[in-house]
Amino acid sequence: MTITSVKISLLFLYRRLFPTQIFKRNSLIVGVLSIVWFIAAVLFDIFQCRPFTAAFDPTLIFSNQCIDVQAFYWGITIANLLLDVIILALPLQMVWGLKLKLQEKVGLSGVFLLGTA
Amino acid sequence: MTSNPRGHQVIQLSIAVCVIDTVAVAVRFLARWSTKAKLALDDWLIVASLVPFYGMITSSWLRMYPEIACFAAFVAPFERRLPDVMSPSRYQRRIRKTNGIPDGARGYNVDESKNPAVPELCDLTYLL
Repeated sequence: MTITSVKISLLFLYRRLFPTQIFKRNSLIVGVLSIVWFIAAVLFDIFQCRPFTAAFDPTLIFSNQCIDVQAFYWGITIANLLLDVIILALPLQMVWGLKLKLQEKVGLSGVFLLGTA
Repeated sequence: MTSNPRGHQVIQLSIAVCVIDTVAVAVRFLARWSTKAKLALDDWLIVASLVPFYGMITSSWLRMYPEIACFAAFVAPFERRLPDVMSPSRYQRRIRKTNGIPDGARGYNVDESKNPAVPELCDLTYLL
């Protein structure tokens, strides 16, 4: 939930900066995708194993059916990474559409790309 | 239960990340206040994202040092006032019911050999 909150907050910040119709539509799509990611991650994490308590009950360690958590984490992380890349690329697209000098465009891209850290 | 051999590093890392994040949020609010911009939804969402983050750090601390939770749950509430005669708490009453001790039994008429004690919730002997 921390990750999703930060993503949604970033999207709201970008909406404040670039209030055009196209950008609002795009950021809405990305926000919905992020919330869907969060719901999927939470549901998969809660309903991991078939006797529900087998996720945390050590006495059920030999009589449970659980999903492959390695594969689950790989998939969730890759989806999260893709969403992050899209959120980083959104303002860059707007910045490079502005009519400024190349130096200023690179500077603004650098400011927005501080989010990669 | 297996313990994490890198438990101490996890604790140190979580403290460092907590400090960095709190400082970052504070600097963000300072920037907003100094430019006299209104605090909009994205600022409150950042603050809201810190809440489950602190919860994660607290839970990792409690996993590392479960004595803290046991102390807070079972010792601290009774620390100040302990009457001379205490009727059994709801927890004790349930333990006795599962062990077959009838209600109204006192310490002098309970046969421990027939009613073995149930390990309590904060039985931390596995740490030894």
